Amino acid sequence: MPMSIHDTTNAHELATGVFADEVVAVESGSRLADFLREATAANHSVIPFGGRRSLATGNPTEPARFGLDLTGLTGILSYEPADLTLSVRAGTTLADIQRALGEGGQELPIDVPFPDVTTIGGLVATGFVGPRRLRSGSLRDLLIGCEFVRGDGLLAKAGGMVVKNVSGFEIPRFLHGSWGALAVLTSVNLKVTPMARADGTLLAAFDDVGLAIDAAHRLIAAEPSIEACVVTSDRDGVRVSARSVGRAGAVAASLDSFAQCLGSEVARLEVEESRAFWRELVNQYAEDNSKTVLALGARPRDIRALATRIGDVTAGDESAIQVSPGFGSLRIMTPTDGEDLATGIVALAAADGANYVLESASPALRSSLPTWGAEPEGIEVMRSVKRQFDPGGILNLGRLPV
Amino acid sequence: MAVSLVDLVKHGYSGDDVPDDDLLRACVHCGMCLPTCPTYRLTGQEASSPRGRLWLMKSVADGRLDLLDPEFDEQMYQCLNCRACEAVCPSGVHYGPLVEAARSQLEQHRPRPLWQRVRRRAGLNFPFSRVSRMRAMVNGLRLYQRVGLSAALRKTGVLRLVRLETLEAMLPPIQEAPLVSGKESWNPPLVEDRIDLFNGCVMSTVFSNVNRATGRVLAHNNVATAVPATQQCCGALHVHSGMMDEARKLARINIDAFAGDGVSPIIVTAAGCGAALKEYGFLLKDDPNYADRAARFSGRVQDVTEYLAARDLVPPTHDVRATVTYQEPCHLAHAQRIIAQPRKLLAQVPGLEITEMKESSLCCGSAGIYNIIRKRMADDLGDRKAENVVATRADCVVTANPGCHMQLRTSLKRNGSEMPVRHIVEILDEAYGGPVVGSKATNA
Amino acid sequence: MDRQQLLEELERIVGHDGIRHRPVDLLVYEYDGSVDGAVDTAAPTAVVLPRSTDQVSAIVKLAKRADLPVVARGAGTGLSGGAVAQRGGIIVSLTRMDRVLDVNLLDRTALVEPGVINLELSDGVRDQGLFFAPDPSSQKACTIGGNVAENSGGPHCLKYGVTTNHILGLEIVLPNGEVIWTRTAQDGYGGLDLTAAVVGSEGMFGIVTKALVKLTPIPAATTVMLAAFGSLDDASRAVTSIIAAGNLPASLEMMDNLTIQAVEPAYHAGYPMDAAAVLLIESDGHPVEVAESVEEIEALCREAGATSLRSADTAAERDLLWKGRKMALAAMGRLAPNYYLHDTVVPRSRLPETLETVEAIARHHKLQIANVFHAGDGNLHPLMLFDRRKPGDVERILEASHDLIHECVRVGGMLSGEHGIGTEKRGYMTLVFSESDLRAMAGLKEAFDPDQRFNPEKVIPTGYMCGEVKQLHLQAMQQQHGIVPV
Ligand SMILES: Cc1cc2nc3c(=O)[nH]c(=O)nc-3n(C[C@H](O)[C@H](O)[C@H](O)COP(=O)(O)OP(=O)(O)OC[C@H]3O[C@@H](n4cnc5c(N)ncnc54)[C@H](O)[C@@H]3O)c2cc1C
Ligand SMILES: Cc1cc2nc3c(=O)[nH]c(=O)nc-3n(C[C@H](O)[C@H](O)[C@H](O)COP(=O)(O)OP(=O)(O)OC[C@H]3O[C@@H](n4cnc5c(N)ncnc54)[C@H](O)[C@@H]3O)c2cc1C
Ligand code: SF4
Ligand code: SF4
Repeated sequence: MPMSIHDTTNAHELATGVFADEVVAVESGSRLADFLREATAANHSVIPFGGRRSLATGNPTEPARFGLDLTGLTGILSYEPADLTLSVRAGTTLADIQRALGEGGQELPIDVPFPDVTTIGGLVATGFVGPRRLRSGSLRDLLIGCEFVRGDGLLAKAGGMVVKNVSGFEIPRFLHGSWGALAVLTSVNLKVTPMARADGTLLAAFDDVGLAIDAAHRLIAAEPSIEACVVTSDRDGVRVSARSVGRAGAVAASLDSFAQCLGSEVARLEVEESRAFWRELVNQYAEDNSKTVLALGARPRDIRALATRIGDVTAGDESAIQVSPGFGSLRIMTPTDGEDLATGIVALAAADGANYVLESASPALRSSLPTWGAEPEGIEVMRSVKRQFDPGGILNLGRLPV
Repeated sequence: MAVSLVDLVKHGYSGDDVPDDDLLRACVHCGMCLPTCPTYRLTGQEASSPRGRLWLMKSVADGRLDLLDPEFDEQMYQCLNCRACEAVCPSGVHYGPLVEAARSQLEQHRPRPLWQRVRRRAGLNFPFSRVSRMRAMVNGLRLYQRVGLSAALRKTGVLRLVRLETLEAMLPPIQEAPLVSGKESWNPPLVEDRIDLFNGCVMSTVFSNVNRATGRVLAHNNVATAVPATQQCCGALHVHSGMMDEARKLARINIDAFAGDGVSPIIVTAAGCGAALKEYGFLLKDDPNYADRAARFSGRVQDVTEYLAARDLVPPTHDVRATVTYQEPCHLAHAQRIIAQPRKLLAQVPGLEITEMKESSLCCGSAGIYNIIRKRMADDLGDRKAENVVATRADCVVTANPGCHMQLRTSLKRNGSEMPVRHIVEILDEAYGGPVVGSKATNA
Repeated sequence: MDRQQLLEELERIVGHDGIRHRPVDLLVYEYDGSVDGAVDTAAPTAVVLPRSTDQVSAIVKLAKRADLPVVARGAGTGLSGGAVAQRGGIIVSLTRMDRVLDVNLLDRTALVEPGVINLELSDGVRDQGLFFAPDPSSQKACTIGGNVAENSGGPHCLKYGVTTNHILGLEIVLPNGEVIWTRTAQDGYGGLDLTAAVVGSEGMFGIVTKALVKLTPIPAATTVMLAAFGSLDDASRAVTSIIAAGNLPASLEMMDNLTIQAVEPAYHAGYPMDAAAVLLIESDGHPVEVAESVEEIEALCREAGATSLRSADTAAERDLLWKGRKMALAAMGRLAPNYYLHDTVVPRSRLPETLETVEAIARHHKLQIANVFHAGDGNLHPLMLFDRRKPGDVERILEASHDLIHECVRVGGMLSGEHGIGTEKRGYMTLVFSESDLRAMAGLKEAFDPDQRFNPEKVIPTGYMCGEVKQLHLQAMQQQHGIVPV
């Protein structure tokens, strides 16, 4: 049995409203396999966790028997700059990964909230998508392999350390976004990219969200190599932020044409400023856990109408909206419990055929509004995958509708 | 579970024209030819694809499939022999000669019902084996086109006998009297080169206006044109139908007819004829008396567009204000790989706009006599082609082969379009001022 | 259910014109694009050519009642035997479901049926400034359904990623006949990423009846460079240094002299006939970016010993340079009657030594091996030339294959970069995967297809070869790949 690092008398609050009787830590895949095999046999529920930033997402109705602390499972297993590949243990934080890659002049092209605590395992498990998905893709596109332990304790690997590979089924990508409900990742292999030599961002101001989204669509259509383009509406007003990465000459030229296309320029951020801006942009939504955060996904062609209607509902309050028109993602943060507001937005979204995930909310709201939105198509297959991977049903109860 | 047809296999390849084993085995069944094949595009089934047909031919060779299996017969003849597959095959599989050999095998070994044989002889061999017969027939048709006897004639059922009702429906208005070989020639004042025109049976009759336009255009370019007298049909349709002996007979006649100086280019205005003439060398390779001469003959053959594009065109004098789209005849684009030349010529016509159609190189369904013997499939292909042609909104569709010409015309009509179809030489002729200005033919 | 009844019921679903069942009809469905001898041919019980999702669903339900395997088939260009009905059953040919149903410019997506041909999709949206990025060399012929099933790659996948990176959702018919739309992990989606599982599943999880694919904007500038080298080693060192210096070309392809000999006479692409190897390097993106990186890459090539450098900026010149590369595989028929190719991938820093190994293997087994491959991703395509009819040739290919795969795995490589496992490489799976790894994969299959109805006898091996002596291994190869001495 792995070492218990907390006393077992009181339930531990792992995150707001999420409890476990006992917290254990593991330091290797094979120990983890033993642990989960035994937990399955004893029918003990388990919540694995990394940085605990997203642990409150979902509806764990009752305390789990075990909280499984993966933050000790750290370290780079292999990094060969010439191959542009990295293998890293799942509990490693994003900050540590970027630091190591930076020494090789490389990076993972994602900006995540709280990189100092957020783990790569957690990011893969939650299916992290950031603004750079527009061109560089998301973690899903960077995953080339992983090692994992299924709920029933089977330790296995899939994929490899090569950048292109069709040997066997795509388990790594399939586990992306599975919220730890099928297996616990012990290590992941990633494709990394050369650090862009230059980085620049152009900020433009608009009168309303609809116009800003129209402008963003135009910009994206005109600029095939644009890296990211986000429309925000918050206390700073309505803005389009457009990013370019690459060689200095190309970035400078791109920012000029961005400004021309958008017809507005509030600020131009260069290299470090630009990088910091995008880190801040995602952090903004993770300031404190008391806020309600809803993530919506819609077709890009529908996002303008959706955002405008949400803008109407939230006008005047402290809500902030962040839209990536290029791939139809919309995140909205409301300051208080705002139960009515959230419910109203969800109804608006449903009318537009958009789905939502309640990423962060008070326990009260979480009990009234289903976290995962409408039941997805193919739920029967998903449940049968769950039965195969986690026959005892011990992993992450309440996470994902499986 | 392997298919075992072996027990049923009674007939294999034998006799003349056995499909060459090395040619067959060059196919690595990669499938790259599939999308270019018109019959595959229409049916989506493997048997109707080049790869499928080659596999069937190989299966016969391997004794796994009976030569006389009805499906084998069906596939060998459903093929349009458009050779689109051959043009794209990365491994250089010579599909044309293979399917022709397979057809020859079927012709030799298959007992066809009597009525079918009679009709084939009547429909194909009779008119196409002697230009004079064709001429007589076309003259008749021209007459009744003019006096409007069509309905009356159709009623008699005479045409049905040789399936001429389809042929008749396809014929465009015949504009001029047939061009009789040996009877006309074009001699410009300044002569830089001399050519022998291959007159062709359909070109010299139904499209005699095109052949005359060719004489004029060449004359404008200081090329003298003769039309050797004793020439006959090229035999392409016979080769396509596996009637190899008849084809060889015609080939020998033509080789003799064009013996002349033995060097001047033989210019062809029908892509189908050109492709066949260029293969006389292969057709007669086993004939000790003719093998060498046939090869030399084939070396002289050029399509009119090929010949003109290789010369520096004397700049045309008249604007042709129209937008045209170019339909590539299979036997030009695939069999002879002549793709850029026609476009190059059109681009030199002042005032002319060219717009490319979708699937320009997909067979229109004509393919020799295919549109006569396989009307349904040909109609489907024709409809698809008409749709692509109409979508260009061109004023006119240009091609370079009589079969395509007629098929395009009927397909467009069936689809409610009045867009005219013209031979590329007609456009060039117009750009030089047409018949009025051009140098007149002299009676030889 | 007897055969007659089966055929009648199938006919009721797809109509008389949609079914093929006579032995001669089945003969042409016993192969795919796989190399002669590497994959057994096998004929199905019947072939159906449905025109709609409903028909596919009805066929699958019928197959379940009749307890027959079902094998989906696209254009049949697959190179690992994927579309061959190893255990018979019903082949569902998707060639008649070939419509592009919708293209949306704001979404940059196309909704297509599975039989749409890869290149025709790209050609159809080019005027709108878009293309479908995965570009297998077979793109003129292969279908989107096949691309999805094999997770196909192509030269431009170095920068743009493989098929899975370009699929947003799939309509599939499950092995029980149910029709579902799979989604992809993204903001606001709370469910499993079934799309990720289905892409690359080689037709074993579901039959794709529609795909929502991502379209990529055509870059503002594109340049293709042709760099010639005096040795294979120089060329592969150039590859490593280009990547290591932080360049990410759109594609980076290598062809050796033997390949040039096959391709140049046929396509006149302008590859120097005397070069030991050429690199085809495409840079695209912002014009300023392209201009600078071309300069840098040229310098790196020169440093690595390039003997000549040429670049093509016009579309026509680029197409010609590419044509030779794309046709290379299928042009091997010009060098030898048969070829057998592998598709192993190695970490790119191991390329130089791996190419040396390939040369050594060729020498040792007295074989001609042509190399034409995606150097930028380390995805090799060694083409072993032989003649089935010559005694001893097949055995040499067999042994050389064995050595080659082992060597690639030894340096951290994998079995297949894009052609899939199918039946062809099934026997090698245990070289890179443990029993637990394979059990995890089998579990995923089980979840989708508990009856093992879809495409049986593919990907997951039945026997294990780990630790077996070479002799046993060869026997297994003979049994599984049908490569037997003539
Ligand atoms: C306010 C806020 C804003 C956010 N904004 C975005 C955003 O813009 N875009 C976006 O995509 N995401 C966003 N996220 C989610 C973000 O993806 C998470 O913060 C991060 O992924 C969680 O990492 P973690 O290490 O903290 O995981 P945890 O919170 O510890 O765990 C999260 C989930 O992953 C599981 N898990 C953790 N580690 C593993 C492992 N090794 N194997 C299997 N399962 C594991 C846990 O069981 C749990 O279900 C946001 C989150 C918050 C709180
Ligand atoms: C000359 C040549 C070059 C090639 N180059 C490349 C290359 O560069 N990169 C590359 O990746 N591949 C390449 N290939 C391999 C092959 O073209 C690809 O694997 C292609 O994606 C197969 O598509 P297809 O339509 O021919 O599928 P098929 O061969 O018909 O089928 C392949 C697999 O997909 C399954 N399948 C087909 N359609 C469906 C469907 N609708 N639903 C579910 N399953 C389905 C089949 O069951 C089978 O398992 C090449 C092949 C050739 C012959
Ligand atoms: S004919 Fe050529 S292109 Fe067609 S399958 Fe055979 S080798 Fe491939
Ligand atoms: S000749 Fe034409 S119709 Fe015949 S197989 Fe080739 S492409 Fe198809």
